[in-house]
Amino acid sequence: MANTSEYTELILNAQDDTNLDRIVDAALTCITRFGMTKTSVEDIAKEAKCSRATIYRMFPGGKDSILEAVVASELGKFYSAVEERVARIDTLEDAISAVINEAGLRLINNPALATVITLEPEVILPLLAFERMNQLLEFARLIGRHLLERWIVDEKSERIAEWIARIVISYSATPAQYFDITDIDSVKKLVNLFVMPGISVMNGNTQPSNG
Amino acid sequence: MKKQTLRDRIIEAAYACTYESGISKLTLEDVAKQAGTSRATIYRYFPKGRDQLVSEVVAWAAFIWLEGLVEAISGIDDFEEIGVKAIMFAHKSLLNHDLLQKVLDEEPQVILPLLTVEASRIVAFVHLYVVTRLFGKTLPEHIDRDTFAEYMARLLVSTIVTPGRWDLSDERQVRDLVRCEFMAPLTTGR
Repeated sequence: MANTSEYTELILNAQDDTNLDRIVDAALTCITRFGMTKTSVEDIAKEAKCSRATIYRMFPGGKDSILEAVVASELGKFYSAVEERVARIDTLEDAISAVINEAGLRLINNPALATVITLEPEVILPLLAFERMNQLLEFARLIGRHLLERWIVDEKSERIAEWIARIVISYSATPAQYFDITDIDSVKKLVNLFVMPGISVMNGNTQPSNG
Repeated sequence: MKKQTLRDRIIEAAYACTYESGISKLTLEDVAKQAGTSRATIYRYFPKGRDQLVSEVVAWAAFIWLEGLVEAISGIDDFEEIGVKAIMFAHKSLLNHDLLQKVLDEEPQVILPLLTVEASRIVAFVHLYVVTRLFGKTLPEHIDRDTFAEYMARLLVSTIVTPGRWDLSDERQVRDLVRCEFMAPLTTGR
């Protein structure tokens, strides 16, 4: 599995090669249908209406490198969606709410991810703890710096991005009783009550407690 | 002292055997021998066999760990102090947990899915614990006890399991984290 900087590179060098896109799209369709383990290069070729030879020419590493390209492409789409939503927003508070809501919706409503979680939890679950989740947090800090740069220029943006990522991952992975990440009003309330006070303390604006 | 049941003895035996064999190679024969009982008896307590026994062992080890954690923070009244102590103790005790570190190192693909399942149970436990510790405290009136406790539990477990950018052995860093990410809703006026 590629590390975070490789993903980032793949996203930044987003290709407009249509053949490549067709194979990646076909692979995504197959994963949504059969899961990652059961998808074969044969299936992808059939779905993309091309030969196995064409696939190996584009992806000499075979199935593993196609899967990496699929993950990179999905991360790229994820980032663009969140970025587009934040672009229309004025305040830091609303931007944080929008990021949490959009990221949560994207994760929960991703059909390929849903298949993999149902059919092959052992592929996804290890990503959510210990060293492997550190890679996800690293990715979050990196994109967070770009997403929040209109409001925060120093290293606090990475700190806040990591915080947001923990909220997104936890509430998307297991639904909560008292909070709905897919509902923007619910998210706004959480951000207003629990996140903004913390940012205010980070900025040195502590107001004395009343209790 | 509580009387140890045969069921407890089987779980403890399985825990001890895991040190030797790891999880994948754990056999019910070994566990039976270690517990001084038979495979048939193990099946009576754990009808689904090995997999069920393994997840019960993980749950049992998590419970022992949580007991230690609760003890480490009992008697502390200040919420910030509870947070700092809980995070630092939890971090250190996971790092020093020989069996956990061994299986994480040798069989990550086996233990990680089990731990992720266990983590949601731990979140539920921490949620309840925070609620009980909040009794008798006056919360700012805009904060709902359960929403706050659930949020705290999730963030705490996430941080302990994956420290990310934080060095959780550094008290200064942990205090900064607790003040901002965790306790600010309780301490800032609005």
